Amino acid sequence: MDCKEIQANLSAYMDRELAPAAEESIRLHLGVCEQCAADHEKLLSAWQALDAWEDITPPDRIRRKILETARPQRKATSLRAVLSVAAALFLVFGVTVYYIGHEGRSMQDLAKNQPPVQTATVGDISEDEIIANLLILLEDDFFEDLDELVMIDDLPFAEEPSKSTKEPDRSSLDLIVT
Amino acid sequence: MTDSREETDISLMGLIKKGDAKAFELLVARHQRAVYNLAQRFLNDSDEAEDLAQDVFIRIHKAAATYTPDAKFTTWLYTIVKNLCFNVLRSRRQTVIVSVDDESMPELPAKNEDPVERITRQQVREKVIHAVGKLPENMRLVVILSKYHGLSYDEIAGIMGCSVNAIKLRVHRAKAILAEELSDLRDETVGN
Repeated sequence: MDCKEIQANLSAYMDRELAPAAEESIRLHLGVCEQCAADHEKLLSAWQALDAWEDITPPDRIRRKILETARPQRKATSLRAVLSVAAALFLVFGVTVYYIGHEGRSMQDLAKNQPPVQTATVGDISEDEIIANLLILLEDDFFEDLDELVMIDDLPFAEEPSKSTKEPDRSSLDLIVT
Repeated sequence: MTDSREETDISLMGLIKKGDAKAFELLVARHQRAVYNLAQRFLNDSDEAEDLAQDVFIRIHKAAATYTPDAKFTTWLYTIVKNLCFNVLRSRRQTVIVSVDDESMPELPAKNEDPVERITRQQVREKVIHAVGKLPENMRLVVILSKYHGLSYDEIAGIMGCSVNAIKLRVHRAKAILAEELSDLRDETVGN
């Protein structure tokens, strides 16, 4: 190696970054070349002067703050997981409600398209008759025997003597039972 | 770093991944000094170094879940420090704050130290800080990693994301600049 090559490798030589053969070659050269030896000494001296910039012991509050901050991070992670599950459940609930609503509307639309259902007509039964029959319906032993059913069926006519001779109108009973 | 230390760091990361708080505490204890001093020397600001050190470990804690030991743990760690350091420099440029020399003090001197020696040491320290501070950012970081953290050119290349030859050249140039900047120290020493 000539002086130029030596100069270029002095730093690496100082840092023990060279292969053993190159290191030995430079070591031998520095022993015989005053200029390269002086340059080496200059670099070495500056490098060693850097030792004056000593390490600082970090304040303990750094460690405390790191550990304090890391703890809520774990809690936040747990909270995020809970919120994710809640969001998923809410989404499922929302989709379910939507489909039920959609299905309900479909059923309503279907019902609208259906021909009107024939319902029993009340005819000329008065409001009082209906109320009277409903009150009887509330009794617990209403269906205990057939006689009572017949009696109920005849009830409107029993209360109206003028109509008692007529055939009982079955439509009133149908109305109540159905 | 020895292999056993590297293995320990990787094991700790595995435990942190499983939510082991003690392992995280141990990892912080093992590396906070290096992280803090690297940031403090590079940024020459104790407050920023303190914030950065916290940020580094919080990021490590967050990243533990996805950490895979592809590279040496310290290479990964110092890469995080480097990136955050450059982020700080970028934000400094954006906020256009005039940098003030850091007032942080070194370790307390030994009680039996000669006062004259202490003053001299303090002066040398200030000159060194000034000289290192004058280096271009990339060169400064390489010097700090090499000189104060004892990293090999190969490791530094991994952290800086460049070739070993580029690091070799950068270290060489930095040493030449420092030799010029600190030449008066040498002269004083020779004069004494």
